Amino acid sequence: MNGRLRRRYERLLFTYPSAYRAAHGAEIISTLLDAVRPDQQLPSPRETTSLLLGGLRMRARQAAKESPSRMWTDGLHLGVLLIVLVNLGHALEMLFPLWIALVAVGALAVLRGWTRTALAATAVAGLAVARPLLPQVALPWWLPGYGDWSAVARYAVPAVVLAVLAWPRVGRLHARSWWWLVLPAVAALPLEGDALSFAKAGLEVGLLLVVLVVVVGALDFRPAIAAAVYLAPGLLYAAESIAAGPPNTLALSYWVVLAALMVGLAAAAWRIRREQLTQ
Amino acid sequence: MSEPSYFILAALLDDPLHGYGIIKKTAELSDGRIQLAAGTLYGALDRLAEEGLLLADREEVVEGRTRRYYRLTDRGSHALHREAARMEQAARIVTRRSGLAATNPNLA
Repeated sequence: MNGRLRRRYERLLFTYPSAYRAAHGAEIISTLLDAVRPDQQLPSPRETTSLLLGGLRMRARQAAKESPSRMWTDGLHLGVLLIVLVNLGHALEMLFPLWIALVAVGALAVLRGWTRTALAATAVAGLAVARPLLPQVALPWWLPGYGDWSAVARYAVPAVVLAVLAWPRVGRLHARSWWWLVLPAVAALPLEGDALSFAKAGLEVGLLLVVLVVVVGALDFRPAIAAAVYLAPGLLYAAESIAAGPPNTLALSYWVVLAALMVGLAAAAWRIRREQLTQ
Repeated sequence: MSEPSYFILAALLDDPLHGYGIIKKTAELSDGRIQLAAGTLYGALDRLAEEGLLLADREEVVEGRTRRYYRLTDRGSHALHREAARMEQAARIVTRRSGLAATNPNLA
């Protein structure tokens, strides 16, 4: 019985920072198991809430110790990582090996925190994507032909952010977990149709809500910066679609929801930083 | 100092205790009023340790369960006594008056 309950409690520790979990996880689980009733199978609602909030508060205390420049660096890095990984997913769908290699090098460099390599690869990819829009330049054989500026934005936005992060006075980027590579694999799944678009839109809105909870609960505005960077090319795409003709009501409402969530996140992040600075 | 922090430090006055020991002792000292959940307890322990009011004393593993004992530091003991004196003085403002009220019905 205790084995199962132990595993359930261990899973509830996921909101804690990993270093804290490594140092205190076993001890907290022991305390929880000491306090259970003999017939107890499930974590009590009271302990569950306390652990979830306790983990977020622990993150908040760690975030408050970070310098504002570190918070910005981490947030921008995370936002760029999200874009380049989704780009890699889309690139994998195409049959242009050199193009896939170029995007993959950029994505890998962002993942490992190699800022200059990432900047070079993403800037070259951005220029390459922009070429079909410049009619005087012939499309080279190894490139897919994109015909819209929003596709260019998916490379230009990360390239601009990486150029900022490559500035000598900005601290080094931390290497991120290899688990992030699951994202391009999911983005490249050969699924088509309305159901998938709905699922994707729902997933994005759901993830933004999670980010909002983390930002408010853990007083950490890094996910808000990352979400803003990630959504920037999409908002350009929305603007381009609206400019091209009367917008589809569903698509418009989707972008209005995303934009509203972004405003909420920005407001939350602003309040948090002001409170941290006045403490 | 928050009430849970006060009772956690008070629980450690006599001997070092592990997590569950602190939960039981704080409940006992507060007549069952303070029932610490693990998330709250460990958040408070981390904060109090950072302020230098308590520290991890030793660790032992009993029947596969890791128990870390915490003990009060000198600084923690001073802070606790200072807080107790402050609360005593604050309480006296009211209790003295209630005492007067009890002896003088006109004030009741």
